[in-house]
Amino acid sequence: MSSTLAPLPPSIAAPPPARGGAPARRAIRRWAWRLLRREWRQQVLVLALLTVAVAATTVGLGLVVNVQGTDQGVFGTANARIDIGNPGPNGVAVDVAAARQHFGTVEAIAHASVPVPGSITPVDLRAQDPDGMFSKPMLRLVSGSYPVSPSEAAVTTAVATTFSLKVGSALPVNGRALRVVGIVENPKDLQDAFGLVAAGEISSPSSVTLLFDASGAKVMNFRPPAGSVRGIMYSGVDAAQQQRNQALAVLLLATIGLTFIGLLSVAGFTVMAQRRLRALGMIAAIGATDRQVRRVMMANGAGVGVVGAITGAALGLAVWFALTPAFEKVVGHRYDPFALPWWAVIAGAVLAILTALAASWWPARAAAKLPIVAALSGRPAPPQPVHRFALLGTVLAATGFVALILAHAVHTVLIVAGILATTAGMLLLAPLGIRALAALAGRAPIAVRLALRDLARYQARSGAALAAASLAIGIAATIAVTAAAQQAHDHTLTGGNLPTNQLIVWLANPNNQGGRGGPGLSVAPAGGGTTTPFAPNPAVVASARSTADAIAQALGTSTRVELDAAVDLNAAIPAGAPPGSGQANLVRPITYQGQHGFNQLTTPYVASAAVLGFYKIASTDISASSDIVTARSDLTGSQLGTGFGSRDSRDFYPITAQVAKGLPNYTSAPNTLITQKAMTVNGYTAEPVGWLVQAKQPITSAQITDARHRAAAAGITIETRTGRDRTLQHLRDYSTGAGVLVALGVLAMTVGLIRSETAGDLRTLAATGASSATRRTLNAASAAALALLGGILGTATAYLALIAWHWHDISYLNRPPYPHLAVLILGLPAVAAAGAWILGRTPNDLSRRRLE
Amino acid sequence: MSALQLTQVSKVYGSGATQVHALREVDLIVQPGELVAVMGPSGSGKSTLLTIAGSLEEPSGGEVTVGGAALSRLSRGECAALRRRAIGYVFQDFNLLAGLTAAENVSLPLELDGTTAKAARVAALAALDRLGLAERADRFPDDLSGGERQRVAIARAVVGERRLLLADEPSGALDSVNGEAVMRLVRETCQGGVAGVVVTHDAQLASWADRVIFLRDGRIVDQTAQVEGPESLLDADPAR
Repeated sequence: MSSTLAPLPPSIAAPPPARGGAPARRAIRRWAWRLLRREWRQQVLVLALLTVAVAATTVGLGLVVNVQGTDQGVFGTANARIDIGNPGPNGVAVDVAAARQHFGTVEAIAHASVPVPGSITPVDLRAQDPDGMFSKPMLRLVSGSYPVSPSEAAVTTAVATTFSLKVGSALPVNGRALRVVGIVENPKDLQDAFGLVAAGEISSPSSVTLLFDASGAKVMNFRPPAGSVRGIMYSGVDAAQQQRNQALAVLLLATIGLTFIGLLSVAGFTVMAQRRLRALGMIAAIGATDRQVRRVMMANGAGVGVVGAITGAALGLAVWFALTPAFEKVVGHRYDPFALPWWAVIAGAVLAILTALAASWWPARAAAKLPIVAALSGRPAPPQPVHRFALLGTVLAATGFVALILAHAVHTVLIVAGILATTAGMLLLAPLGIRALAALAGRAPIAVRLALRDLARYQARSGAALAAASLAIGIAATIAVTAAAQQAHDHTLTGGNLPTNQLIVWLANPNNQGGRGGPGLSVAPAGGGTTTPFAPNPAVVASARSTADAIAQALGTSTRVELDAAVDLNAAIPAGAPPGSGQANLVRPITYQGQHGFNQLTTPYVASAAVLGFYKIASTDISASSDIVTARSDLTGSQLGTGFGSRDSRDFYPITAQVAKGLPNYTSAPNTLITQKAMTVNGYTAEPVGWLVQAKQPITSAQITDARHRAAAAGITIETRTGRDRTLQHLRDYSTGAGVLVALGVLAMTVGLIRSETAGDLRTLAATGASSATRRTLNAASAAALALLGGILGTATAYLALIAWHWHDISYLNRPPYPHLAVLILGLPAVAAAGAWILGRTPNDLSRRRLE
Repeated sequence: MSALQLTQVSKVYGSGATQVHALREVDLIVQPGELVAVMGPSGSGKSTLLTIAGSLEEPSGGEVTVGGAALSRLSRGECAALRRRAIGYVFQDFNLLAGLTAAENVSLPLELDGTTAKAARVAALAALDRLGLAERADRFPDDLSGGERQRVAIARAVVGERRLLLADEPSGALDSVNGEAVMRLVRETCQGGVAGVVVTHDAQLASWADRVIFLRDGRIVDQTAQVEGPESLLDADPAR
């Protein structure tokens, strides 16, 4: 064997830097494709997470554009709506006629209230034409048929559940039994619970809804001659804002989703680049240019991006169509599943490919720049100095913070820029956290020390993975904190709600207190005025107390706190007072607002020993001069008194309010207490109005139904939390869970690959006598450290962004969801460590790694 | 014109207290067709000399010329082109891409240089045929023995019109029989006009070289004159 080679040609002396053209690109693509096929197992986590991210973005886009229902749930096809209250038996025709004269075509829907035994909330009964000119989109027949005769009715599923009805059952309405002939719904508002009778079948409506088309000015000028206007709504006022909100939400979702995909991909491709480092060094050694070396990784990125984008989009669409019924319940209305922002879905998939491609560029560039000899030896590039990253990260985070403040939640460009800058800042600060942990490793046990130092050694991949995990945690924390803030905000605005494990047994329906709301006394004049002072009814109170005890027992708890109201027994009810005036004996604090208005609190309770003990407030903590103790900080300057009686309604007297943090912020619960001092000085009497029952666990729907039945049998009512509150609670729970799961996925990918890269260390450890526990500790410590950093960084970033977002009303955030944050910051590392310990095992192949 | 010339080449790693002089003012000239063996203890700078000669890393001082081209005057891209066209590198642990067949591994430098796939495959098959591996051309490296893999690596190093063959312990991962066979191939390649530099620990393998240089602490401390190696027994030319 011999070869004959020509003499060295002169061109070698100055070879042109040819790039190889199409043949080179083909060779690179071939190798990249073969790598993708050969290493699909190593890339399955990246691919899976990319697929899930694209699928989640697709589903999220669908939800975002459909979450906000159209106005049709309220207006039908009309553009204006007026609700008229108390029209009287003959007033409906008068008001409708006046409206038709004013607006032209008008559709009227009459309403009546059907009391629900044992519940404070009545059911709305409607007389509505299923083929109504405007209201047709507000009705949909689920099963059975629409009512046509005076003895027929249809109900929504919620009402059917409340009354235990089905088609063929009888619905009791004001002493009549209407036969249920169908199940209906408002497809544009699934929360809308109502009963339906044929149009014109409510002779004495409590209110009337008028639907019509008219200009805003014309609507505002209308005054019904018989009834009083309860509400005027004009469709389209918020339409433009809704459109902007939707577009903004889509943009935000896409921005966050793609950022997450990018970070995830960077982490994955950095790992892949390290795995292929020797091979990349080899092709560089045989003459591949930097660009060709980069192309190997970028071709891989494109391949993963294409597969992930297509699979993810297909998966997302499959989930979207398959779970449409469930999603409709979530968003609260029916929607067309094909009403997706297709441009955004396609753009999301394309951007995912581009993101994966861009994400592969950075590690590709790093691999191409690495000295060939270092690459051939498989040594990772030395970690970059973190102080530069930290400085830039701080600047970016600060820039993002300021941008979000200046955005005022409306300026799209600033919002997107703020989120991107904040996220980029977090990414750049991640290595600092890793290095800080590594610096602390010196005093840790050997396995922990090694794990922490390896994280710093493989900073490029652990930093990107940490950023991805932090982003997942940050999103979860943002949702949890926002949901908690919204809950607290709702409580402040609407009177709030009870915790999931509490209910209140009311002696009388708090919604029937002469329009005032709040607790009711045991007796009230039934019809007509009276001058008879209030007199408690011990038998009724004893029966109600017994029922409250039974409900508490059924809930498996003995925690039952009697709630007493302060009553001025000397207050005589003036002649001519309307029905229900007996409740005017209740003492209430009021706060004057401006020159004429005043705000009357609805839940003043007596600061009894039982209530104070329940909220762990010592009587010595109450100032001797205080008239009320309250959780509210806005009662300074309030006055105290009854609505009627010996004092005029303006004859309230100033009080001293003491703020106590131990009290709840829920209006139904005892958030304001009248002190014994005020009781004594004014000669008030404590009378029971309700019982607060607290279970050990959240109360289930079945338990609520049971309690309501017991209350109904006793002629009293119960109050529990409302649906929106429960939805927000679920949102917090689900977002926390999803954030933890995604973060665990990222950690699994990163820790598994880092540990496999350091198989040589494992071999050395094994040779020096390290046990399996040591090797498992390596895994657990790596996972826990990254998870802890991710939790802290993600939560801190979430709060940074939220503080900027709510900069102009920072108190909005003063109700942190501590349990959820604890899960994210402490629970995640614990689960990650446990999982890594259990799943961690010595790699099968500890021998020399082959060239990939 | 020499195929390889190192003039006063030095290489320093690290700085300050961790500074290491891998090479100190090394001068070396390798003529076309000449095979030089580099020997020395671990850490003497053998592999560094080879990587600098192959443009895989830059010297701290001195000048390297390959085929008359001064590497210090070439860009990274031009150095890469030089490696594709003029320099062949053989690694101790083969460094074949597991995802490519033997023929594809061999044709890779040509394809990266713009040769069409068909022409590159023809050249690769010819190179493999010269090394007795034509029938294994479409096998993946995992299906080849250690000796076969190293022969594929040599084929890749000499495919095309290479002028300089650099081999770092080419027989280090092989048994003695395969090690001898590999050195014989390297020798035969050089007989075709290619200049070769082989790093080895094995004196017997070094005896295949025309000249042996000894490195210690980064300096050439000794070198032999051109000797007749065992291959001369195989050479049919009575003049050698």
